[in-house]
Amino acid sequence: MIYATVGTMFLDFPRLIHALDAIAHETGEDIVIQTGMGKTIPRYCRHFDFKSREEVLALQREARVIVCHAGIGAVTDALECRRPFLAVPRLKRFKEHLSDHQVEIAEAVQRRGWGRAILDIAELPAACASPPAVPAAYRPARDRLIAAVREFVEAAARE
Amino acid sequence: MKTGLPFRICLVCSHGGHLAEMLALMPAFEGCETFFFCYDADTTRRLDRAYRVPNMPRNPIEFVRNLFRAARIMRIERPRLIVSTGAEIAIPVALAGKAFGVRLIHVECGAQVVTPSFTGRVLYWLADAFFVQWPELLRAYGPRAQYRGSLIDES
Repeated sequence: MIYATVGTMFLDFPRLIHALDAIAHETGEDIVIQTGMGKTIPRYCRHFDFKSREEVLALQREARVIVCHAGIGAVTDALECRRPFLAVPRLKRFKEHLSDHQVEIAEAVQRRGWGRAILDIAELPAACASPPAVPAAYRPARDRLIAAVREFVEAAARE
Repeated sequence: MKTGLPFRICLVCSHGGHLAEMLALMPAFEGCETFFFCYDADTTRRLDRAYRVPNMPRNPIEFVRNLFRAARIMRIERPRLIVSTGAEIAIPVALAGKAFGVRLIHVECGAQVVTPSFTGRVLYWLADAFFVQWPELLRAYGPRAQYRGSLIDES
């Protein structure tokens, strides 16, 4: 199963949904898409708009590949599930987002070896067919930031 | 979340990635009582203690209304601390918090890799602690910004 998400963004992401629909139609693979607030609905994929975070994480852990818009929340949650990972940035020129900052995120993800950035949607079928390896387990940087914030919370408690 | 540490924290964020980041930070607030100030959306309706406001970020009238809403909530809730993960919804809350002498932590969204956010540029001057999530971003801010790790990891 391929799990895909367009996140919580209020703008539509038809480019991704149509590409996935074509893959489902062609290969017959089971694809589940979280379509969020967008109007585009796939014909050949299972889909829903929103589910609880726990349900989404459970679906992602079962997936053979996770295809994710390159929003930071969706990316972080997806990487947590440690499945082969493809980040597809929403682009301003297609009116999928207000800026191109998702390209920065997708490229940073690829630089660090956590997955692949799909900057051209035509690369998606091949990337789904032979996805990158599962990223190594990770945590330390997250724990460090939580500890830094905690330090400040405790300092405020002592005042 | 119920107490141990005897104070309350206001968590301010919008409803998508900013909320996901706040939820990831929750272990840092253990023992404190927390409440959210956020946009009204499917994701935030699942939170149990939250003040929800309409999502009209570019409407100046809504900005002023949020300023008053935030001030009223500061008066009722008396938080000791505000934690922000952005986006612009944090600006009126940070300003109201300042007026009430509430401490402010801002964690710049992990989406900002090399470019500061609008919210970050404003909160940089208001925050008592200002964290960025990519070392690449330190250069774009100034000496008040700190990189102390990231929610999106870098092992």
